[in-house]
Amino acid sequence: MKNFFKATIFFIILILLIIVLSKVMNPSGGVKMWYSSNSILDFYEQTKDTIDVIYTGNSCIYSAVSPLEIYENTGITGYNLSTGGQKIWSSYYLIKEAFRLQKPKLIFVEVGELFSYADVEQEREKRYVIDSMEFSLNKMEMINDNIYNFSFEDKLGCVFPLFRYHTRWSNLDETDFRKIISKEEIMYKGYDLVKIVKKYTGKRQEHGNKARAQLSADAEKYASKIVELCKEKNCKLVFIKIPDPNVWTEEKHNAVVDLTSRLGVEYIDLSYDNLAGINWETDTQDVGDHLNIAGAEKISNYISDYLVNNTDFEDHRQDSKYTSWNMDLETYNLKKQQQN
Amino acid sequence: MLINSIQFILFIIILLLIYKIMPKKYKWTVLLIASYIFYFLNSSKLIAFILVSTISIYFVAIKMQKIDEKAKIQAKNIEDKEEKKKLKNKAKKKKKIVLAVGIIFNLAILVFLKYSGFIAGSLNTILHINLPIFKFILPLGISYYTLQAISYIVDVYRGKVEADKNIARVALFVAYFPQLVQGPIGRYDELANQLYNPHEITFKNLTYGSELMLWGYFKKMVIADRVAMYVNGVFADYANYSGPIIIMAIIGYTLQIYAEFSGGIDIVRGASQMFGIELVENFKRPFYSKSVDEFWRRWNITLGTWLKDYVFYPVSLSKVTLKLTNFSRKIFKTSYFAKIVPISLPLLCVWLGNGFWHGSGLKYIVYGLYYYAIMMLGKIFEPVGKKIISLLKINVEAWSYKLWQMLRTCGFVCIGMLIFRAENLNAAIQMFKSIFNVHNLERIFNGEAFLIGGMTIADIVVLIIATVIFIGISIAKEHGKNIRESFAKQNLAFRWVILYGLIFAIIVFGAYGQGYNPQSFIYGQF
Repeated sequence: MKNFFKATIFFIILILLIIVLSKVMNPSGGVKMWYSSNSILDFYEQTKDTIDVIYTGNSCIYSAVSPLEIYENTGITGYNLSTGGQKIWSSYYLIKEAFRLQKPKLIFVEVGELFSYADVEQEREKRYVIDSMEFSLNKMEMINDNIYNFSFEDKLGCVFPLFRYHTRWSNLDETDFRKIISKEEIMYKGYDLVKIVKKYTGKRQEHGNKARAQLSADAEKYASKIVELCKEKNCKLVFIKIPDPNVWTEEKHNAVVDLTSRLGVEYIDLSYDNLAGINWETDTQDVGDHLNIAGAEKISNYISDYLVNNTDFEDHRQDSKYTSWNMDLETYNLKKQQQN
Repeated sequence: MLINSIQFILFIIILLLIYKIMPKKYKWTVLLIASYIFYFLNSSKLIAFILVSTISIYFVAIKMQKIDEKAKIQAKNIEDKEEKKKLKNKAKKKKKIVLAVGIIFNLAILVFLKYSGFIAGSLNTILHINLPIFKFILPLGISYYTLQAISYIVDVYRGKVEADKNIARVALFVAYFPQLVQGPIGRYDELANQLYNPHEITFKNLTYGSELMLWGYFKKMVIADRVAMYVNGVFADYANYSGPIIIMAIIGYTLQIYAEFSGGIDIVRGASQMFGIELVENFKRPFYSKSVDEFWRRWNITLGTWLKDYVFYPVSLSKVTLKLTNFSRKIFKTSYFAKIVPISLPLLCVWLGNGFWHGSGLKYIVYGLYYYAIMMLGKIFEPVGKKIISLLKINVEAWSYKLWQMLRTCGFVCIGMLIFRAENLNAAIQMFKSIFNVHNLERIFNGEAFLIGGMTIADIVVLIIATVIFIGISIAKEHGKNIRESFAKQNLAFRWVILYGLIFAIIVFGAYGQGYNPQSFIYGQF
């Protein structure tokens, strides 16, 4: 019995050490390339049941929708739960995780990620999401989902990132150790503030093509799952397209129109219809791939109007429970001015 | 399921639990079923080959035993001594035929699967014919279990052990999973009873076994798989390297194969020990050897003893060798050479067997003959060597002389490893020649020579520290220290710090996962 007790203590300490070292070795939140993973890490820092709206998708949306901008305009809180190259199935699990921690009543899904193909998904695109998520049933379900095609060793590496990233030992720096003690919010409620201007001079998006792009069966499946999940949680779902002229085509647009009508989901097209009034001379940071702060302000203003006109969310600006939001807003505005 | 995988560790844990709760009478069946599951997971349909081998040796052994028993019963009714002798000889002859059938049958499977391609290719070249060349996927551990199977029937023939009447027990002896991957090659008289007798899962066996496994993983994953990056880098592109780089690659390969093979043996011995089953040691610090002869008594010991018992002795006692002995006595009278010549034939068989066992291909034959030549030349020149030592008054007890002997042995072994590792014989010769072609020395001074095959400075630092630990442990063991016994006597805090250190050294510094090519065990491919 004494030996059994000793062995139990030994293995408990071993697992604790593996957990701590996993946090150190996990590049999420530490490595520059993994910047967007902060969107998920910061999400866990949000006070429970304070987020009204969730925005999710890939880099298109985290560089275009600023929840603090919308809060300043409307007093409605939101969070941009998006990572680079995110796929629709990862969005599904992130929405599940959002429902575990918050009670959002509206979810925006950026439809660029609907054109996702599991067989060409890069490992880092999966891991930005998985390695930033806390240990939960949602994460376990996600890891075991065949869509990710994880081997047994991969799954072990998802639960204990030490096994996946052990080779990072020679590249560790102080941020890797600091992040296990305290976590500062790095993004602005998931929004990535960029001021760089690199104008887009390519073709303008105009209607006229009737062809339909092919959606993968997997994408449709997870889009339907999101619809079902939102219904179950009594949450409104809106599909949105952020302007993205280099990748977005009318064939894709048409396919999404068909899909949203099949699923009975509202679709806001800010790309072909340019409803937010994006100016490609001034509003993009990288020749049309992503919007900069000027573009994000326009998109956020458009969404602010949409929220005011189409929802009945309360204005939290005077609510003492949301004081931290006002403080975050000050920091955000300061950052905007600094950049100016 | 590789033995250096998480699945293997989980497999062992589950098995330990089942073994523990199983009634004593059926404990051995757990090992049998587990061994066949392990085999099936690794070789799927090829499991048929190990089954066929098992069935064949079971019936061969039973048949030999029956011949013996029948002869004994008949002998009881015979008074005449001459008649009795005749009967005995007749029975022995019959047994010999049955044994030969058993040996030939099992060797034929091995030769067909492993060597038919090489034999057909060689015949095509020599005779200018066009035989089809087949390349088969080898069943797991065929080179190991075939030797084990043969040793069993030979031991029954020799009366060393009795034929087992239970085929399931024979099956367990042949297929016991820890030793299937890369040995050690077990003997029926040492292993069988251990396998069948029920063992209690004790805390001591669990800790000692897991410590040995950890040490094995450390050697395999931190040392062998890391140095393999460098070795593979140089051997794959040997034409572009010369001098010290080739030497470093050869020494690196020697380190790799030693750390890997002995590490693999530690893993399986540790796993087996947890069930209370002690597998024989296969290594005894071979690089302390002062001669090549001694090296082979310390390296892959169970193969060496197998070849000694089942090749060297039978050939030594064969009619051909007896004729050779008589011939040698006539020619050399009582001189030293009269003793040397008779053993040349059995030694040749042993080393050809050793070479062939390692693989099909000319380089493996040359590998065996290389050691044969060293040993024969060593024996031939032994008197000359002794004379030189006495003339020069060399103190053979001085540590410096012993060190010289060790380094000399290492040198010979490293050349052997070059033949073994090189792509083919021609590549081995080219690499050997390029050792003496020293140029681009600046590669050494600017560090480029060390950063081959994806090695980084950090990798080199880890490799050096791990190798120093490896050597330190070897020195302690060579000086008679029982590492695990003395470790068990240390205080708990110290033991745990060391164990955590070892575990995390393997997890963090182990060359596995992405960024590393998983290295299968070199000796697991036989």
